[in-house]
Amino acid sequence: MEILPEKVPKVSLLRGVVEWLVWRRKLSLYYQKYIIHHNITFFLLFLSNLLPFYVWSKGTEVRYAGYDVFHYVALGLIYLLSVDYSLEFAGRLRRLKEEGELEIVISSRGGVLRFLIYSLADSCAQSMIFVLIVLTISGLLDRSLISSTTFTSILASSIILLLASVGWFGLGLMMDAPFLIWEQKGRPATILLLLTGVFGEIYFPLENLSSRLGEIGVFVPPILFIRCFRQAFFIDNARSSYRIFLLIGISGCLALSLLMIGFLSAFKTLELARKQGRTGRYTF
Amino acid sequence: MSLLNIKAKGTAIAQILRLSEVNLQISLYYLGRSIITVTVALLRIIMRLLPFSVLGQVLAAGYRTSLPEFVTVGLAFSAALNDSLISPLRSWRQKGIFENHMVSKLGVRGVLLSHLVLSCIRGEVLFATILIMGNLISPEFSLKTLPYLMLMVPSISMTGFGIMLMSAGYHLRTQRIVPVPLYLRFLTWAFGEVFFPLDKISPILSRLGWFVPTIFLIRRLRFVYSGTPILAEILSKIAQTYLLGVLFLVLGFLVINGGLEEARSKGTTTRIFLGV
Repeated sequence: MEILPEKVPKVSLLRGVVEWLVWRRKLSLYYQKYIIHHNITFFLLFLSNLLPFYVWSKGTEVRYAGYDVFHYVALGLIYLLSVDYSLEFAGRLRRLKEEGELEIVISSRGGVLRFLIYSLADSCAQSMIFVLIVLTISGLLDRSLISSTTFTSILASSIILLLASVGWFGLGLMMDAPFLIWEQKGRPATILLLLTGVFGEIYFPLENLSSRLGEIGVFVPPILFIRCFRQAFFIDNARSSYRIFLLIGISGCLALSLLMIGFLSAFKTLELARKQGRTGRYTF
Repeated sequence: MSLLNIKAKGTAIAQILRLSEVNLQISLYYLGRSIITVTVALLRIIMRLLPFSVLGQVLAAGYRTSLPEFVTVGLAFSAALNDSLISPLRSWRQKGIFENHMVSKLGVRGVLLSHLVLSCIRGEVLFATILIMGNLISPEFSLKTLPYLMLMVPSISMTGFGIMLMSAGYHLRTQRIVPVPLYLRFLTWAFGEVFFPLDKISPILSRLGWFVPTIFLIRRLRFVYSGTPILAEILSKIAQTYLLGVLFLVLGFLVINGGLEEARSKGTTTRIFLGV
């Protein structure tokens, strides 16, 4: 069965959404038997990352860049783990290959385009579901995280996180796409994610590092997203609602730029591979 | 490849050849990906150590020594354990040569023994790397008990390997998927005294530590790290960890042997799930 048709007719938005849901379900079914264990291990992963900071900083009144340490790390982890989904580009291709449907998907320009659009929608949907769940867990662990913010702030920061997912999706495409052509093994997207974990202000602000080490943060471009996300989460929206729009605007510009570059590079790469007949030789 | 076609006849020489073949293939596998693997591994270690080092710097004086020490020893322990718990057989799976060896008893023994040795070596390397990096990142962290700690690493690898074997054996017998190694990995991080002592959290949550069998090992590791001057005490703690390691290993071998016998009789050896 084809996941995506070879020739893409002009379809309505509704039909596109339905087709995306079918595609998403088909890919999810592949891992359906692991789904419960996957969710449990993901929950444990998040807890094991967050709990140590909660325990060590509890009652010490230490602050990072004006934020409570637990709040700082919780928001950092929410950001890191939710954008992680957006880097699944190579993973999705691998699943298609294992299903034997990679050739069908990338055998036409329309198929490639639709695959990229559906993958983007998939990343955004997964990120938002994840944010809702993880924010609830963090709130249960320490209620002050939720009580010190407002509904508008949560909404604004969720929009920024959505835009961050879009930006990271573009980054993932940029990083992974060249490796499809070179037929070399590489994990540039993973390395970028780990670099963000270390120097991306996830666990601590860069100002707490020595100046030389802190300069590495310059090479982690998505650092802007996390700064906007944190600011929006704890902003006093009664007095500075214009600032929320500013933060969303900045994130939106960055996200769209990254997405455009990523989309172009992936699309061109897959097109080139298709023309050269090298689509079956991908290594993941 | 010619090495793959060596026929083991059940003699000692054949078994040694098979073991060498196994180790050679694993080494070649890792050699091909060494730069990426090492870069990713180092970044993962830094990502874990650096945040706690920064937190230790901004916390009150009392924490400054205890936090980096606690976390570095815990992280080194967890790395050695996880390597034996999850990594070894996955590389074989990816190479597509695991199933070839599952068809005979001798093949299985060769695979498992060579993996155990490899796990111990990798565990030692990871353990030492993390402790040295911990010392570089946080100078408060001392390395004076490093030789004793390194002595304990094989027992950690044996325990992890035994648990992984039990999980794989259970799957072979029942065909049910329960990724015990993954659960144990995250439970060890969350409630295994890796990043913080259990007495710092609420009594209800700290009871989850009862479900983490490796807590016995890490407490002895920390005791040895603390640098007690009495050699007999150190040796006694090391012996205790080895006792636990051997116990888990024997149980693991028994369970996987039973599971394999059953899987062979049903013809389902290729469906093994390694919990990864």
